[in-house]
Amino acid sequence: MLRHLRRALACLGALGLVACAVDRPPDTRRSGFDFMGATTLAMQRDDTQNPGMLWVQEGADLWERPQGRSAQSCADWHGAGATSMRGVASRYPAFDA
Amino acid sequence: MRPTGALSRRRLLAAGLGASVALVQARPAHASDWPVELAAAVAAFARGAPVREGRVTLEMAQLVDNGNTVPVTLSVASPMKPGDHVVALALFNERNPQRDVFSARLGPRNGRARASSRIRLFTSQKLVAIARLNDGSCWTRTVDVIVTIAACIEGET
Amino acid sequence: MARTLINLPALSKKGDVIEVRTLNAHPMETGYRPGADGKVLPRDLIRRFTCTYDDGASREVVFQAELFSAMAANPYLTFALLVTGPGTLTLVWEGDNGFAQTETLPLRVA
Repeated sequence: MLRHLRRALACLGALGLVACAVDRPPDTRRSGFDFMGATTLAMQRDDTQNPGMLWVQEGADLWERPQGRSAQSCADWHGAGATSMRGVASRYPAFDA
Repeated sequence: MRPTGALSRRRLLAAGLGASVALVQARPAHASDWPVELAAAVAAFARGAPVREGRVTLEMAQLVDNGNTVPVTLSVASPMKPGDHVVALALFNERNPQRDVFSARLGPRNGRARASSRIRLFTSQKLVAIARLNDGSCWTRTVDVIVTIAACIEGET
Repeated sequence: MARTLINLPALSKKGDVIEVRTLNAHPMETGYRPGADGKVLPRDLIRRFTCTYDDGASREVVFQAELFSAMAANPYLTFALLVTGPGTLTLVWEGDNGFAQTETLPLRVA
């Protein structure tokens, strides 16, 4: 029974994919990454050179800093950001449209 | 008479490849190309010592996609021993509002004569890297770069 | 206080030549750029960077740089250092409007 269900779902999924491939025009968007100069690319890829890492460090500091009346930090509630907040950057900020 | 067919396509491809390779490699320029202000800045750094071309390497993109932050590396092949070392490195530009970019004091305690940074370039121009050795002699390297987006001096966008 | 990022090997050996990479968050206002109102924004640069190495036997300036408007914002400076023994590196950034920042970090040598 389960095997039949799985097969049916797989077929539906495949049909869906095919339908999408046929209907949707090709995505011609390109990331700036693709046409960045070689030295700019090297600078961005190297965490010891990328100036954005200065702000990443600021974020890490803010995570530990006690705030507000309760004088608690994000870390007090969520622990080590690297583990508890893994993948968050790809989902937030989230807006109720 | 224009060649046709596969031969001409091959020639066109070769020409295109050749041109793009030439564009990517650093285009060397020479001390004789320096305009007056640039030559004066270099002479001031050299403190009257003779200035020769060579020994200094200036690594930077020849085609700069963003003049606001251009990585550069200056280096000199030097043993950096007490009797034979680089005492100073400097970088000068041709067309920014001011010739100086940066200068650095070095010594045997560096172990290697090498410094990297990021600079701003207002427009396509020449850059001159210069090194002064412990014996007072000065060596330079001049490079010509093309800048596609200029470092902003025209106000906030 | 301006944020800094300093990178060097966690552990090195005597005689190694290591690379010290420094980044400092600073706008490096050139003094040539007009602001939104059309008036030129005053210069606000880090003018000098100094690295002093104390290896227990001596305390010496091992790298010093003078910086000008042509330096990019958030200055990135990298230099080489010959490891002569375990000790401390003191990095100092000084600039316009009384800007002065010092960071000290240990140099760990096996």
